[in-house]
Amino acid sequence: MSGKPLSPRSSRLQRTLRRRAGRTLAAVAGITAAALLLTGCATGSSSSTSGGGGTLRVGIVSLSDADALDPASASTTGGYVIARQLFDTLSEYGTDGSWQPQLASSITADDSTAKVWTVELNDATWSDGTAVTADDVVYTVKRWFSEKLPPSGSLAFVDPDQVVAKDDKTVQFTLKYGTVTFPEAFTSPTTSIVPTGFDPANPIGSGPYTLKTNDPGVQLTFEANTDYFRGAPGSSELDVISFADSSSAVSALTANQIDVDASMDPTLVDLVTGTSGYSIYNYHTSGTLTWVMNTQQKPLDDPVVRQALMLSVDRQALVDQVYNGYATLGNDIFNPFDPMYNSSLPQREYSPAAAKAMLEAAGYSLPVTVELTGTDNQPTSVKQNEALVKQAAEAGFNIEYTYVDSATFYGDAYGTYPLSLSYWGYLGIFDQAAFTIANNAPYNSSHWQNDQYDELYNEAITTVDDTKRKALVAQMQQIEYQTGAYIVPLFADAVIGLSDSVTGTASYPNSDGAFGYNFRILSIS
Amino acid sequence: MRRQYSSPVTRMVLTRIALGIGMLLLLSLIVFTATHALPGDIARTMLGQTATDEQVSALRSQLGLDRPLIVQYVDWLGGLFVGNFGTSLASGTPVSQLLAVLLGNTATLVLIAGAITIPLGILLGTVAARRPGSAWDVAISGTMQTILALPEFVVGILLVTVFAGKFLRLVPPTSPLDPRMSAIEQPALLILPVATMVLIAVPHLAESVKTLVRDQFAMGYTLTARLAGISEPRILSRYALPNTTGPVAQVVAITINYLLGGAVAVETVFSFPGIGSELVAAVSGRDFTVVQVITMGIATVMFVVFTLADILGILANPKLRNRI
Repeated sequence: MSGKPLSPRSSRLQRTLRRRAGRTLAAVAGITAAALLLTGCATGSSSSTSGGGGTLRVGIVSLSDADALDPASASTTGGYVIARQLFDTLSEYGTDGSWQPQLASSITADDSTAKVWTVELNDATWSDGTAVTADDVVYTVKRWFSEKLPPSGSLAFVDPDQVVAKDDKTVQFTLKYGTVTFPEAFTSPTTSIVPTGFDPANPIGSGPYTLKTNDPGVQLTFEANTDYFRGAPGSSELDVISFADSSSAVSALTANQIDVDASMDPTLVDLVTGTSGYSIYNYHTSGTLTWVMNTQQKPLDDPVVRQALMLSVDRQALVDQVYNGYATLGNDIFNPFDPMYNSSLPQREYSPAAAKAMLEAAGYSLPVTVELTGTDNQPTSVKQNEALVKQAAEAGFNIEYTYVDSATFYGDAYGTYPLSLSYWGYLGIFDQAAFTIANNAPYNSSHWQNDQYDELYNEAITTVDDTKRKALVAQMQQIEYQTGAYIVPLFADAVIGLSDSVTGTASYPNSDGAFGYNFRILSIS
Repeated sequence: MRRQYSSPVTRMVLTRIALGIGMLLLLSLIVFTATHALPGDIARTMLGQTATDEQVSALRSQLGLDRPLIVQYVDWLGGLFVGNFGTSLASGTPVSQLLAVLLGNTATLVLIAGAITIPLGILLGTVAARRPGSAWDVAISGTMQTILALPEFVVGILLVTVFAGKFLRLVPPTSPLDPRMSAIEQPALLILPVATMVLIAVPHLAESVKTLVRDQFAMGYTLTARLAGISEPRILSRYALPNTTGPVAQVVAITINYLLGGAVAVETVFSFPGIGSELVAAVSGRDFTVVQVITMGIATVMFVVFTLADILGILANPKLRNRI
């Protein structure tokens, strides 16, 4: 019957079918567009506990399919949460912000050059019952370098061939060059120690919890490791539940759907404190949303313009309005919790008139236009950028702010934005510099380079004497303060919403996340 | 002469399936191209701000993203035909495994919302159609028009504020379903998402049904029936409603597809783990394989629903049925 002409009715049918097909296409296109739009709107203490019962429910904004079970690849909130529950790091930043040994019982330099370091391990066991040995540490370090995992980029001073097990519990590192801050480099969750032959699909760790279920982007559940070497965690089970945004997490907290809101937007605090049975736990941290000025792009390639922009930020207004008071003033240098922090520099004030005068004296016609790119890397990011647009307008700047989604922000254009807002901190002064500005740092999105700074850095990093080193760091921070590329307007508090049934809180000022993600310290009644 | 065994309905279904496959192929190409045209890529997203170019290219190569686009497309499409939906780039788990629980959650949400929306929408539309300008008509149409003007997320947030806010804590304000249980075992968490879906979908359906039924009431046969003294309910049940079966089936199909679309916004508002919220997260994280499977899945369901509605329309229409 082939070749039979279509009857009028079947051609009508064909037309209808075609129309239908078009309608379905349009509907799916609409849904995809809606998804795109929503996307656009839409990011320890060594105190040992006796071990407790109950299930602690923690809300996080948000888990993601990209949350890695391999701690070395962790780059997301969920990835850090997983790393902190399942594994241990050699050292950690404690409740006062200073480093202390964790999986290690001691980390000591063998001589006055800080080139050879000896790490002694605690008596810890893996979740399969075998002991944590020096060989495991050697394996972990070599793995970072042979598989080109992220820690290999931040541990430039480590020579993987010069990491040797001296005995079952002793590892010796002979570094490429002396590094006083060696112990601090092993506080990051990405440097978690894994057992020899580690399989990320079946993550065996030594940490306070073991992984029970993993529904990527939805929920993680953990079971207490009652044999944990620092004492069993405060709750026998831990559920980490994902929320799409800060306001749903707050709603869930005050409706008893979770016990801890680990991702509070500080402007929503009143919703928690206004509900009986719930309160806020907060502490100062070294974490910051810092404006990165690109020294290779006009007009911020000119140190005068950078100085003027630093004077155009009303830091107190940001703290009060954007952070609801839950932040401390920043002074364009990093980490007030580092004992080497230069606190003698005068606090930079909001001086729009002075900024205008500087720009005019340098021959600029006002307003000076600067392109600002930002994403919602923190709940306060958008508001902080919008505030800058208004504040800097008073000082003769025309800030053109563009919001892009996170994947676009960190895409190929990252590092080319003239001005952008980045989430940094929770790093010692040396690590922060090594990551971003010293000696052709790997993540130098400002492209700032200063020979005098590098010389001071290289001298300080090998200076064992604390007083001498502090004097060198003071000079380094003085240079950043005067000609640097980072506007550090403030340091954000950790703001955590808590049910009254949760006890055992402690501050972790130098660690990212609520309690540095050390949920083992919390008990639930 | 060879006898023709296949009936016109069978022919129609076969034609429709052929056309549908062609349409889905075209759609797959559009979705693939569109997702790859988005700025940013998953390797940088996964590695974050402390990514070196070397690490990014290593990860891209590990994920197979350094292959030519056409090779990636053919590879993925070939997988679909043998039931292999691929692996989520971000999590490394098979997409089918990643979506299994989420699919169950969304299906539960859409089915319950549909089971309430469809009878309710038809009932309200019919009641409003019976006497144009009556109090019922004004009340129903007025309410429907108001809700129609509100976007999904606004309806959702209003419901949360009223029924799960500070003063009236009747239901949970968010719906973080526990993936260890099925959605139906957590009914309290379904209340607000279902209510939102019903509220946004009923007006569309009711307004369309009203127009269709009113058209029937304006027809000559209704006047004849009235003149013959047949009662209104009988006219409605015996003549007007059966005559609207075909068009109403179409409208119901549109409603079901509208619910599927609404799930994207509703799931996000309530932190409800489903296909819709996963699609938003996958687009945001540039997890292309997941985006492609979800959009293709939704397209396939929409296609099937429309086809079934057309078949029902033909079977319900004696003119078409008899010619077949």
